[in-house]
Amino acid sequence: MLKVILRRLVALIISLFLIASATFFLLAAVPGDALSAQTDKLPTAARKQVYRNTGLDKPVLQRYEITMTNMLHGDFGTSIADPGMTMHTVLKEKLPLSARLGLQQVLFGIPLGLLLGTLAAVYKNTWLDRSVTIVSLLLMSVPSLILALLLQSYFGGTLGWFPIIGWPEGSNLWLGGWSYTVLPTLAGGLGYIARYARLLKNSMLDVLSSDYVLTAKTKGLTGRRVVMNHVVRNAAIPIITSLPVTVAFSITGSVFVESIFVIPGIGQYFVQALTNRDVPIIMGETVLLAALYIVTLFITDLLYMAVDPRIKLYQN
Amino acid sequence: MSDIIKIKNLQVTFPDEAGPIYAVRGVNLNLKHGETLALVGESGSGKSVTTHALLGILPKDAEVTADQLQFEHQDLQSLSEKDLTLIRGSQLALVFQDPLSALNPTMRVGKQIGEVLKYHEHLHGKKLIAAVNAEIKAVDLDNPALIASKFPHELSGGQRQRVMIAMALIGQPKVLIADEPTTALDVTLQAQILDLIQAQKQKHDLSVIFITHDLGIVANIADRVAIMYAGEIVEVGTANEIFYYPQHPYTWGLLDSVPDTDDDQEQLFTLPGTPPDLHQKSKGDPFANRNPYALTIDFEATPPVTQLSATHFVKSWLLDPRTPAYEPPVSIQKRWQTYRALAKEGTHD
Repeated sequence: MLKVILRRLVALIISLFLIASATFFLLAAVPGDALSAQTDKLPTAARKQVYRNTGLDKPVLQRYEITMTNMLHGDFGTSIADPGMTMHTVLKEKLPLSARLGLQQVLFGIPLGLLLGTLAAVYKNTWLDRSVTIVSLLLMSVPSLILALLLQSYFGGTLGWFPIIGWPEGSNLWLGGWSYTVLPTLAGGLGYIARYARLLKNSMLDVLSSDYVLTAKTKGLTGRRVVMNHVVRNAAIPIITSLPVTVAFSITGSVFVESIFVIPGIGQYFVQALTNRDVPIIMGETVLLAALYIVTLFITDLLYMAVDPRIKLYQN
Repeated sequence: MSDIIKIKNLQVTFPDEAGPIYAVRGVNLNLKHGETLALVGESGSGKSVTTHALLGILPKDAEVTADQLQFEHQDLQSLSEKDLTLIRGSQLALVFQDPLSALNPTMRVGKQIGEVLKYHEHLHGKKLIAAVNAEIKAVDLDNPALIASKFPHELSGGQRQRVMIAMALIGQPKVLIADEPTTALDVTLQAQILDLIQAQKQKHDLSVIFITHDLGIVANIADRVAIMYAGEIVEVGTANEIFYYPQHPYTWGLLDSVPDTDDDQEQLFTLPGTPPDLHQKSKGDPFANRNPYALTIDFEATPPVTQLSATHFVKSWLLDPRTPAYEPPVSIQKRWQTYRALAKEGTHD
């Protein structure tokens, strides 16, 4: 087990190095940089001075060396476009907003999705099953971007029930300003309902039609015991193992929903950094997201092993 | 011998987008106490559906009707689902074809075997473990505690089928339904599993329904044989009657398709055609279009059932007195000669 973790750790470091390098050179290859817009109209001498101050005047390879060395020490540098901002302040100020949005979406969407999925599987081929299937297919095919706009224009605009834009901050950061959170939560959460309803319905139908469920019936188990002892665990395997990725990525911000509802979260800031060619922030976010993704996948693998004895990550 | 199971005019219909599927069409079958009855037929002939209807484990949308569906003195049709669960496992048990898919992949096999006792006899803890280990030992597996702690995928095919049998027998049922229990196993294991079922049958005074598509393995274990085709039983008789005095052309076809090591035949006989579409309620004999002996009437009217002895019944127009003379295949004529010779010996005794 220790060997597996070590191996994964080495893979993590190599992956992060490759991702960081690729990101750096791709950004360097793109014309323009964080300063070009601001310094466009400055006299040449002043422009050179600004570039020298930020270190952007150095050759690409030298900048690469500096960036990578600093990153090894956990320092992604200071934002060029948004002076004073570092990855540390981004995580402190932007992440909590995105995290609340993501958590609300997940806590609203997944339980409802699981409930609807179970009902659809149990009442297979009834109107309930059909409506769940059609609605979830619809919600899955409509991007959250479109959904967000529709919600915004109807519930925010036409009906005027909820604020159109904005997000609670300050003392209302975690608990408060609920009316602002309704539409953004729906915009992302409806997608989770659709995905998890379909996932659970399919896996339950698979298990319910399996031979071992028939075996359990022939053993004289009551319907409830068949479900408790033989269906729940097996049907839960795909759910449990897709949860970590869903949760991790809901918390780190959704670009579309944050942009449309003007939520100053980490997702929106990332887009802003990208348009500004703000290398330190882009590098920081990319590497953090990549690390999060790799770690989450490892957790998923561990969960697989815990719920399904057929899966082994290592040989005894 | 008294009948432990009696099935009269069983009909099972499944709904389907292309119209109802008539899977079982008026099956009459009885199982005598202590006998082994082989239920033989091609895939889709309704063998498994018949037994699943008996246990009441068909999907909810299946439509089941029968004039009689009796186990011992109980009418299974009148029992509630709750009473049926009390009979399943403890009175009627089933062994499936493919033990890998029939065992829960995420539960240790010991626990799966123990479930029967846990819920029927409310055994718990050490008593339950001891009973499970004893049963695993009874199906000739060494180191029962170790086997019990394994997951199905950690066992070999033969071990898994023994586990299935242990699971079926631990509740000490009166009837064991073995649904192609050897089909998923290689030949040497087949023989071992058949021996095991025979041994357990004698030890526990079981009555066995043995479902298979292979007449070859039936020869040594069955007391009686019922041949199924397209949801009907077309011929039923003692093993002797079916093997040496077969009357239905479908039975002839099945017998000729069993490989025979004594014979130098180069090619194995195959029945021409495929089984009929079960969406249609056939007019006449469903086997007619594959039957070289078919008469005009076979395409028009359902054949009558002719009784040849106390135990031998055939559903075919060939046995109608009006049928013109015909000659069965040479291989079948040879069998008839053997049968007649045996019968003569019998009268001399």
